[in-house]
Amino acid sequence: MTSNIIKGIFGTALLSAVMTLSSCNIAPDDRYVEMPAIKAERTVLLMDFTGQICVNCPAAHEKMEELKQQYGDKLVCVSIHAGEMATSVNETNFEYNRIGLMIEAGNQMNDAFGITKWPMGVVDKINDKNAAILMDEWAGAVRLEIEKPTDISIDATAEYQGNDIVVKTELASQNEQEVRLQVWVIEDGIIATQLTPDGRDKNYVHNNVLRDVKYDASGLGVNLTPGTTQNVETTIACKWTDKERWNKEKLSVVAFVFKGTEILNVVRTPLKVSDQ
Amino acid sequence: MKKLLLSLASVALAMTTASAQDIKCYMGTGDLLESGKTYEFNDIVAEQEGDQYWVEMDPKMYLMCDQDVADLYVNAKCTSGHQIGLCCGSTCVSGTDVTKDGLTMVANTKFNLDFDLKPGNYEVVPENVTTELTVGVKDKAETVKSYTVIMNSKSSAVQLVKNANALSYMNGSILYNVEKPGRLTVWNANGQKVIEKNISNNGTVSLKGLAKGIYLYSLAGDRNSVRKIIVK
Repeated sequence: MTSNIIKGIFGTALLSAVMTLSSCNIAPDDRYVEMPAIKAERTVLLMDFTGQICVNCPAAHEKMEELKQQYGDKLVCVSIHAGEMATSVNETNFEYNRIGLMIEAGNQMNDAFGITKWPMGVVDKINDKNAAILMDEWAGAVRLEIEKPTDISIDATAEYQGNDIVVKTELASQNEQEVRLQVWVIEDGIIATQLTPDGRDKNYVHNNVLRDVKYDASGLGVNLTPGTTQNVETTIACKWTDKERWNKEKLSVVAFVFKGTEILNVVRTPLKVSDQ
Repeated sequence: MKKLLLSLASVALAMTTASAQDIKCYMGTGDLLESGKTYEFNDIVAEQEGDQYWVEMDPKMYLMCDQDVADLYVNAKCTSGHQIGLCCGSTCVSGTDVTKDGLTMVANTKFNLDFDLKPGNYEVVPENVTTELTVGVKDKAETVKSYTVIMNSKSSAVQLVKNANALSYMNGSILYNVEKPGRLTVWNANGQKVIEKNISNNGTVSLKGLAKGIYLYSLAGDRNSVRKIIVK
């Protein structure tokens, strides 16, 4: 054991000498690299696959909020409760304050991305088994994506009408092409259990939670031609059941267009609830 | 010069990592575990929530090593068939047989395993949750250690936490069983108080005489006690 210790000390000293010698070769002007300002060419969608009994997931929620602060409305974030660490809406019992946030559509997306551990993120991809990335990679992926030009523009409004959410999406393209449209409903401010590194928080505030998906995985086909705006109207029923109760004051709609596995642009708009 | 430096660096690295990494495993109490042995953990949380229990079984186990460790893996196989969770590293996995690999330990720093029974609501508190836990460095058989951990609720050490205050409705009366004296209030659908009564221990509050309609009742200060009843 003594010889091992001596070997270790000698080896460490030798390594230190090597590192010192090699570090002297960096020119002073090469020590600092200026990062150019970010030019946002599009709005990016970040999906956070998460769960209420996933103790590492609150860190991912914080990371998402940091990125939202940095990019503003150029970054749309959605928390998708899915997989083994999530609690299904079917387990909800309002009488005992037990609220599950996983919907079947979210779980299907989780499987489509091949996700088996949580939290994982996906940036501007859909139906791609190689797209999921660890939380530490989100910032870099968002930055790369946000600087990519796109030839698609998208805008949307969402209004509450007679227990329905009526979404009007406007799409335009610089090129003639067929794209696929998807529309989601998300909700902020849901108070429900979340496991954290400090223990169970029964009053955790869940934001950006996926509540419904309008179209199936293949989306709605839309043909676009240059110089023409395509308008698509979508209706989604607002839920108030013994398993799911949406707070319409906290709802937003996310609409995005994709082609193959690439998301080309996205928009988030709050639900407009008229005064009665 | 560069070639010489690279060669010296390789020799240096080889020398520093020559000794086998001795990874030690501890319970949250600080007790050192011995490879090949079985350990029972009884500090269970089982909190009644209506018709189910919120259960957490977390031994708060951790690893330590006097050297940096790269390519650490942890495998947890639950031989009793329960779903277990493993959250070491930055992600969580769950199942009856789960593995985390590619993990890194820093010398002399606690590496939390975050290994537990999958927390959540259960109709029956699980018993004898038995898991074979294996840790080691990839391709280094000499570093592998194994432990059997039994998380057990079948023990007097387990504290079953029942709801401190129980309110329920049956046959025209509100039944109560409270830890401390409190104020029970019943409101009609217009938000008007129709009954207000100081209660303690256990008993009933009759709702006879109330008109048909929807009522809410609760115990002052207990947010979880709010209930709705319909009087026909």
